[in-house]
Amino acid sequence: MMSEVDYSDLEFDEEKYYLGTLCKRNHDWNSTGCSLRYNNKSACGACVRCKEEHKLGVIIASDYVEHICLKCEYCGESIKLKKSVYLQRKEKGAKYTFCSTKCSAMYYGEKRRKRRKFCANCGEEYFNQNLKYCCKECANKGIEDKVVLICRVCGSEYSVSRSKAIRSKTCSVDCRIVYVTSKNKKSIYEEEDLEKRQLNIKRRSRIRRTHFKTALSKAESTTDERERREIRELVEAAIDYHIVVLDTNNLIQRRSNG
Amino acid sequence: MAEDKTYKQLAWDELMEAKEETKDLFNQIKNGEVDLNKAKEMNYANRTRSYEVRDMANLAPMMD
Repeated sequence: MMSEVDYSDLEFDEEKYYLGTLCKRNHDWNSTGCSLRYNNKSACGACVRCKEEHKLGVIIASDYVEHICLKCEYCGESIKLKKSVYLQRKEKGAKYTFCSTKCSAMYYGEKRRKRRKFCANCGEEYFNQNLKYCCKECANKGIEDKVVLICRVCGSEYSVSRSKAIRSKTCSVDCRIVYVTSKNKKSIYEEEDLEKRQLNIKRRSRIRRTHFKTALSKAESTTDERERREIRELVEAAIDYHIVVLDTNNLIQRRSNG
Repeated sequence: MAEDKTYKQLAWDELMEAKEETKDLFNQIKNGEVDLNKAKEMNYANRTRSYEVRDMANLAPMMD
């Protein structure tokens, strides 16, 4: 249909218009290869000439406003959406398009339910996303899961729950007072006995590496858990014996040297 | 019965026995209950035995 509106004498006003892509009715403005479009939000970048034609009843609205056909992500119903609205939603970070708020709620509700979460105690799957355990019994059992630590002040063994094990240092309030008030936050026990223990660990690992390779390789290769445990216990006992022999030897050497 | 025992069990028994003896020797030397020359002799025998026991413990899992 031929245009009845003459807008060739229309001046280009930067505040009102901009030169956008050629509209689908090919309204070329002054042979620029672009269509003159509105700047303001209400017009949504519509072609000026198309809008004028719509006012005169030459064309209908859908002919000059660009639309996009999409499908509802939940029910699959087709949706006709303004391109500008679609782009606005995209800018805001919307991933999916829905025909209604109901569809949106249903979709995200199902997605949330599908997200897999397992109980930290029994390993069963459950739906509440904010909790660590599936039920009260599992929560109680999880709290009972304790780790044995050595007090840095008195050196005695004590147990705490696994979650507190990282920051726990002392066994009691009294020990804590000693630990906090001591200089450099280090007690005599920590300086001497811990070093001894670490040396002992190093010594044991050295003996294990040098003398019991064969037994340990057998333990690694076997699939039977019980047998593996037995071999490891035997090796550890043999290391104990080896250390006693070495200590006796050292003691004799020290005594003979005076 | 010794015949029914596995190599691991035999090694374990031997190990415990040798360990007790060495510990006794260690305590005796520490407390000065034994003469140093005699202790050296005993220790020499102990060390020889310790190599045997160590090899036994190391190889027993392969034998079973």
